Amino acid sequence: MLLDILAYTVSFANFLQFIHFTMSSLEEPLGLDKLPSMNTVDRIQRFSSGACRPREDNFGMGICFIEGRSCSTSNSCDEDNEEYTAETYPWKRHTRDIAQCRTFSQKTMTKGRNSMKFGMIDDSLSDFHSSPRGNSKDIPHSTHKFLSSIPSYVKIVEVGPRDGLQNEKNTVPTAVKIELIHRLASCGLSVIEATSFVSPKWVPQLADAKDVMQGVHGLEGIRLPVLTPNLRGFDAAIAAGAREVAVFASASESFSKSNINCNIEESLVRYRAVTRAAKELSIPVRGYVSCVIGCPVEGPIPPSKVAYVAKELYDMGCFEISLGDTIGVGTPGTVVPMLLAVMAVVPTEKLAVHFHDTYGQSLSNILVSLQMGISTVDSSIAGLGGCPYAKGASGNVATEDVVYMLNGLGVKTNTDLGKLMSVGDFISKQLGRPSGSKTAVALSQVTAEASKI
Amino acid sequence: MITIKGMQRGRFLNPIPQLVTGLSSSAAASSCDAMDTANQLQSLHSRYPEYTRDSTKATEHRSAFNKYNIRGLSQCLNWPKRFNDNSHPASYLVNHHFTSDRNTDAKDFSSKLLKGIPDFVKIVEVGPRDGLQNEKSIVPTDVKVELIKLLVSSGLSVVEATSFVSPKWVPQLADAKDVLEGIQDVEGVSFPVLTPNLKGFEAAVAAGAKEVAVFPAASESFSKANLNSGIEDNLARCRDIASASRSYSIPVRGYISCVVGCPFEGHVAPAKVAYVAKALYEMGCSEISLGDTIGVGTPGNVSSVCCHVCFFSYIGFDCSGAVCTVVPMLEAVLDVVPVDKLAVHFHDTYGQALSNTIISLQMGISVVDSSVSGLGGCPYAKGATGNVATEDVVYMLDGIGVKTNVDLGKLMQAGDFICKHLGRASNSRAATALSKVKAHASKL
Repeated sequence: MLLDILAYTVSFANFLQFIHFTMSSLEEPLGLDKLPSMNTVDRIQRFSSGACRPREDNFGMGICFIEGRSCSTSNSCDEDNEEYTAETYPWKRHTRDIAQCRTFSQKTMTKGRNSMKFGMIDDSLSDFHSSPRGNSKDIPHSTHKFLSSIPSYVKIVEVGPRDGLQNEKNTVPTAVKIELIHRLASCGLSVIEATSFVSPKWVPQLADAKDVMQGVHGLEGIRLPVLTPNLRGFDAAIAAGAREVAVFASASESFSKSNINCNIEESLVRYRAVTRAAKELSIPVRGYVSCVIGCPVEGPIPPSKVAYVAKELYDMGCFEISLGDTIGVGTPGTVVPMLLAVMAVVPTEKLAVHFHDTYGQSLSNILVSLQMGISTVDSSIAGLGGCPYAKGASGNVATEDVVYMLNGLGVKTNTDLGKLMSVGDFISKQLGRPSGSKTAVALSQVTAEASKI
Repeated sequence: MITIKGMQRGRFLNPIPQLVTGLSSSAAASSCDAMDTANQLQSLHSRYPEYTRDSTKATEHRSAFNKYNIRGLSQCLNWPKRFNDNSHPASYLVNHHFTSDRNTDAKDFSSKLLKGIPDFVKIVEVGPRDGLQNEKSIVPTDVKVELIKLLVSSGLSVVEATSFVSPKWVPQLADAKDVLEGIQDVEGVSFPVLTPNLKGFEAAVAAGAKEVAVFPAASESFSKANLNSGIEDNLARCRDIASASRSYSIPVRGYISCVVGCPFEGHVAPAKVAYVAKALYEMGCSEISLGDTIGVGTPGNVSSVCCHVCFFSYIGFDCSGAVCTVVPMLEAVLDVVPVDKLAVHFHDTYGQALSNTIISLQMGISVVDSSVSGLGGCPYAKGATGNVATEDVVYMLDGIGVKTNVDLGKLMQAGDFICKHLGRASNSRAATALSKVKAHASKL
């Protein structure tokens, strides 16, 4: 009898250990009645050399594979992991999730979780959650070093209404611009470059800057920077109600001369005047550096020049410096040295990257920039804005593509991809041409197909 | 003499400012001493206590920033010593397109991000098969042969020539035998051909094929839909082909489709991909190519995702938060197959191919499949792009300093040739941009 009890206890202990193993890898306690059966795949995964590594995702996939449902063991936004350094009350994370993650898929996840018969999340089982959730960042695996330095939140600066539309051949009506900005605001974007107060002689497409500013006056909680090349433009912007301005210098002398009609030093002098005036009015100033990799006239640009211009802009008071690969020639091999040079003189959190997709390189450039710690990315809805130096080639990277990648990386953007796509659709229809975003094109084709099923 | 800590190859004879390597806290080589860096920065700051606003001192002030140039970066990146050597600045762009010469040190210096990338990446060109098989109109045999020859002349060492499948299924490749005949005199290049079954294999060997390829799927439903049989049956067939090819000493390349996402099943478990990869490896495949057939993959890691809208959730598929990411899939496969036997075959349907490729390279993969001009659309999102364009991949690899032995200019000629024949624009952004720049430069 005693032996029986002992045997039972031992086997139960083993059983509990098994459960512990599964739970510590799965994070949520399994109901005792819901142990997965092992099929070939799981058996191999379980007993192959990689099995001992706590890769909860694979185990999770195994269960779902059996039950025919895809699920992820991850249940929280990265931001929660950042905040919970000491996992005292990990189960509270779940309620935080529901409050904070406000997308469609999160709702599905919650619903899914409730419908899965995994047993109730019990306070007493919180011990199993004790380690900071088997976050990829904590798993000492060689590949994670490439993803661990990626910020958990990336701010997307939408430049479509300005950088995108300023290159359009036909002037876009003011009402459309205002509508575009309103729709972009509803997608969750927090910064939208509204327009530019440059002389209409130079950029006729943005001659209606004042009217656009009037039209978006009511937008709350969204930052709407406007470009101001000089004090006159700055005054006009303030008069029109702008609350944030931007200045743009070039790392290339020749490009500076051809684009803004003065060399780098002269432009910096002008911008010092603008930033001084802005400081008096407590208006934040964003700085752009163009041609950070290459110039259409000069060729490759030394990282030192970019660092110099960036430091100048930072010192004169710009709160953020956006590094623009104007002609899109950058690749990770040239972007990394440039970023290293700039990061030597300007703090990383003050930097943004503004890549062009002219050579199809923008997303890989953005990925390495994120790996280096950059957490602000400029992009344009539907890839609006061509390349002025290679007519017919693409220009700005498409916001939809960037958000698709960031979603896949697990980076929070607070933007809704579905809504972004409908905005991209709207402006593409207005301009009468297909979207420049591959994600948008693919997803719209897929939905068209799916609707036929 | 300042030396760079952590430099593996001591090719530098002159000191390089350690500042450059040690600076970024997140990206610097871990072996660089942070204290050293801070001290050096401090000394720099003390030497230049305030940046003058006077423009007359600008040059002097700006030269202080030369510290941030690496000695020899200009040589690294193939920049001319004297820019005036080139008569047309724009032509510089076309000829050099911001390449890095691998033999110098852009990679050593830059950071661990680029350090792990292989020195040499083999490009497997799949345009003539994977690209052309999706064309609506049949491409004549002589055009196919000409395309293959042009591709070979650009330096590609592996070009997937054709496929021995039933003409009922893939009418565009019915002339497989003739294509192989047309290229039989080309030396030094591998021409793998697809063989779905033993019959196809026999036909391929009879036609003179010297390398074959098999293509199971990691998703049961895709396997049934695409190949008319489940995964296990398919693998059994592959084993037959592998053992037959062993007797002929013909190498077999394995492809796995739907490695991250399937149009029917949604997310595909990394474990399944590892299972199929292991099976292919054990049956003797010389290389295993992991294909993201519908292009939904992103360079992320499953466990770090929460809020997203992926392709599947967007169309109402209840994926409950799972995403299709490349890293867990690669990790799972790397557990069971050595990295030098792996290749990646990404589709650019969602524009993610190059970022997926760079993360794969960072993880040590050194073979990339691509298609000239991005030939080959996506069968599941009509009108969307498919294969990643070889020109874009080569442009990126050149820029990072990875050897490919592929000449981008000649590659563009091959792309130009086939696009003219097909009567449409190239899907390669690099090729489009470079051709526009060239056109513009010629007007100067």
